[in-house]
Amino acid sequence: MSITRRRFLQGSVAATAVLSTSTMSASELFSPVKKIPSASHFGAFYAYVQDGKIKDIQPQGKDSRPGMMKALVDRNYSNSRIKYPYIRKSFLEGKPNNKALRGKEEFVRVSWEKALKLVAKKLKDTPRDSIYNGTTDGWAHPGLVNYCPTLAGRFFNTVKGGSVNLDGDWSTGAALRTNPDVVGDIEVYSLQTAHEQILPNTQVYVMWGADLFKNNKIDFAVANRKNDEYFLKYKNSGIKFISIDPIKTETAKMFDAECIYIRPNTDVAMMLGMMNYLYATKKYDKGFIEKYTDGFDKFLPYLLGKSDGTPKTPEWAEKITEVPASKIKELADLFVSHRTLIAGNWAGQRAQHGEQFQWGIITLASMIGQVGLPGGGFGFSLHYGGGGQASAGKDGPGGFSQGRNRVKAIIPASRINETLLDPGKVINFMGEKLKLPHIKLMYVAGANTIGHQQDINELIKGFRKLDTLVVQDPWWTPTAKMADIVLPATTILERDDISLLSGSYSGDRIFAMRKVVDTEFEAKDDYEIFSLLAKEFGSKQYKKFTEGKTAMEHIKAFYGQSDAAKTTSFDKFWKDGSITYEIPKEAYKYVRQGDFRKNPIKNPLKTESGKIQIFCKKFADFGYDDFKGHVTWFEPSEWLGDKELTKKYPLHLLSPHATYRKHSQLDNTWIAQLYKIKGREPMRINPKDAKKYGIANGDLVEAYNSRGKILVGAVVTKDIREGVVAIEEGAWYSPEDPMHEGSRGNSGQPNVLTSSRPTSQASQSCAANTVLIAIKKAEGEIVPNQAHLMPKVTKI
Amino acid sequence: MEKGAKMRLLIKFIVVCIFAIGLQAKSYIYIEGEIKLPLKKQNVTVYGGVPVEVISKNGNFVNIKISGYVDKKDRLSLYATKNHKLLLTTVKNPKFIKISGDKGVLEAKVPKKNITDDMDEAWEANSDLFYDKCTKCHHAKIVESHSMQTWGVLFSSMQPKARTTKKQSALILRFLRAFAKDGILRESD
Repeated sequence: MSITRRRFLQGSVAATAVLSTSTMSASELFSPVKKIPSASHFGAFYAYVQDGKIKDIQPQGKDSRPGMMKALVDRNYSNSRIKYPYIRKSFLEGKPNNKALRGKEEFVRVSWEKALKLVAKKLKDTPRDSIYNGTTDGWAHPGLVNYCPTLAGRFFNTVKGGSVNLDGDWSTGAALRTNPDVVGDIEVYSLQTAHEQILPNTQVYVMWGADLFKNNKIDFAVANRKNDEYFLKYKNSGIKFISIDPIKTETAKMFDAECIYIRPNTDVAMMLGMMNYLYATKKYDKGFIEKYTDGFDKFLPYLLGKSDGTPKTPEWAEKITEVPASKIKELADLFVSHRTLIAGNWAGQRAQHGEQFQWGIITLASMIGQVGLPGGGFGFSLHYGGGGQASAGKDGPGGFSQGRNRVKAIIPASRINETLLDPGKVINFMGEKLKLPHIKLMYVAGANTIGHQQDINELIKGFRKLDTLVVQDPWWTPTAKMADIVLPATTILERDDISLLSGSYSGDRIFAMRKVVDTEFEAKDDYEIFSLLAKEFGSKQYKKFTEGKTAMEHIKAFYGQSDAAKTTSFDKFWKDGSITYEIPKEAYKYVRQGDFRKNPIKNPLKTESGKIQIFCKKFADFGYDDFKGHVTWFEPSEWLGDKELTKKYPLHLLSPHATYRKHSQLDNTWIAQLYKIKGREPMRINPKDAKKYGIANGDLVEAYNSRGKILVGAVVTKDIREGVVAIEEGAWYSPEDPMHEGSRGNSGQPNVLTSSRPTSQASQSCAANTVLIAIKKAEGEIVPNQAHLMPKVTKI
Repeated sequence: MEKGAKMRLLIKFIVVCIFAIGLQAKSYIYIEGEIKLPLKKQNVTVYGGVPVEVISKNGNFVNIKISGYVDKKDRLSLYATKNHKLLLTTVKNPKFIKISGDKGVLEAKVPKKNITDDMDEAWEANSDLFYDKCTKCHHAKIVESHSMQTWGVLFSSMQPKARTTKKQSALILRFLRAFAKDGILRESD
């Protein structure tokens, strides 16, 4: 039985009453409210359960932002739940034209046995190098036993010897392929300088696109709210905050930051303008460049224009960035004369030529000369996972290993569409040739490909080339609606699990993710689904996959591998719901690159020279025209400086992370109704642009370009630069007319408009933020948004 | 020569050939779960998984030859490649390594139990550790898709999350470097 939103809200009211008057309630006497600890990417919580129903969710401990975790209840009882196994009708019937009907027709309810046997048959019939494991990233939930990316990898490696995997990720693909050779670390997922070192030492805190407040709401592990306490300290610290961003972020407002509304995709030009100025005025730290960097002499001719005839002066940069040359000089003077920390974001590298963004910051920070000093230099993860928190340095629970994948073919993140549509194509990739594999079967567990991949219309064409698409998920996501076989998975509230070591950087908590309620449907735990599938391949494979253990036995075994198990029994941990490690005092003194700064001979970076590579021969030797041996400004294919293209598409679209979602998660809950406009994703637009197009706050607007069109709701605000609009990523894609190819997107999912063009031939990464669009007020008949409705199903 | 004698000679020749090929075929140092094997009496240390050439066999011992690259600043070590990122062997006396240009050769006597013809067996402990410790949060990268240099970076970036011990880290790094794009070995299919 499903519970509607109305019934849920009634339930919440009832729960409040139950909780506040429990000593007087007769129902409490006969059916006590149970308080069960569990945890999620949104934070740790207690679920209050009565008569097998969740009445409320409250945060564990101090948490000033529990809103999103409360929506987990609504999500659990959502009408968009996949209740039973389903098979798409014409696929089940084996009709020859069935591929073209993906996303267009009804599903047939089948038994688990039938669904599992069919999935197993398709897997057995398909060579492993034609199976794409599309279970990307680990954002479904932070539980180790039902962790889909690991389970899926373990499953394919066990029963097939492997499958085609992804290289890199959509979040940080360009940086992951660049930073190792530049600074000897991936940086984007590495421990950051501790807040305790930033607060007393930093004088200027530059948020180069980084939105510290918004993005730290969630965590790859279980989010904590420690950074909220630090934000209060930052507010009163006297640090000067500067935000270089086309959008005035929540963080910029919170810290009264000076906002530099830069033109999108031109950050590297501004960095070069500052570097040129610092060199010309001899204000750069020559000593640092000589002692700690390599290849400045090879970069200099480009910076000064001797190699290409274009000196990268502040005046040159002004024409590109529309930031006045005087401001560029002023900021350069400020940075070099004060202890300055540059917090770079990830969105800047999710653009065409995104490899240049963080490299540019590293090069600029090197000329400023404060890398490795307390509160100086750069940080690329201060906006993520509690970045800046000191690390406990303890062992967390174990987890499943995937084993070896014997398939060597890979797909660089961002090249999914191209792989499906043009198999066998040879592309350049990090100095080598890469042949895109021929994918016949795609398996997606706990992930939503039509959420994170660019150019959705192109992706759907690719999906319709596959022989088989299997989706395993608790909800009818847009990807599930495109599937041939749909397997219903339980939610985190319906199964036992144990969390990753949390938060991502503090690593000081382990949480019992205890089952809160039974599932009301035929959903099974992800671990059980993969175990049953492994059994279809034989008892040997089943034993190898499960190690002969139940999920609870694995939970206990994983806990046993943690440092916590040395002092606290599993039973006590499970009853209490969490365990906390003490953070050693020394951890609060951590300074990123501090050891290198102190002694670069004894503690060299893991680069070719042991120093920061301002010039990288390996990169230069690739011989690409869109990626060179040093930081370079490249004109994007779509940007506001393109006088011709902007005649047709005059606005630059940015698709930042969602404020009230985690990617596409929670889009199907009541919380979405707090910000959606007429059921569509909001689009922030500057008042001057709104006036130009006759758009008022709250209007429905059609945003479009050559790749597609979507409906969005206008939010007219001065918090965004003129000429730029922002639609947050993650709304569930839904076409107005599923039968019509390229039909208008009805929910405001911006990836209908983004391009699948890669960052460059080097990293071939996601370039979602290089998009021009046009807009017009939506008129005529508007079809209701059906993104969160389940598709038509029949029962045989 | 009678027909039978000819046949016996031929068989003898084939056996000798097979034996000779067997001696020259690549073998590997096998030390289960350990990084290196000190040969104390010889003042030599050989590293696990290192490819060796078997010169002769003598009871419970095997005479081997290890070829590699030398660092001009360090005459006591042999490395697998010119970049000196993967150690093959160390000696206490530089005379033990015969040097020619940037290359060197060392001969040593190793217990028979520490020699295997099976590359997978020689590297099993290392590769098991890698595929166990480094696939809990994400799938393993194809080892030969990255250079020794890049593997050094990637491993040091992720080690704080993988929480490997110093010994485990060393075993994993040796495996990654040996089988890297610019390494000396390729994982079997």
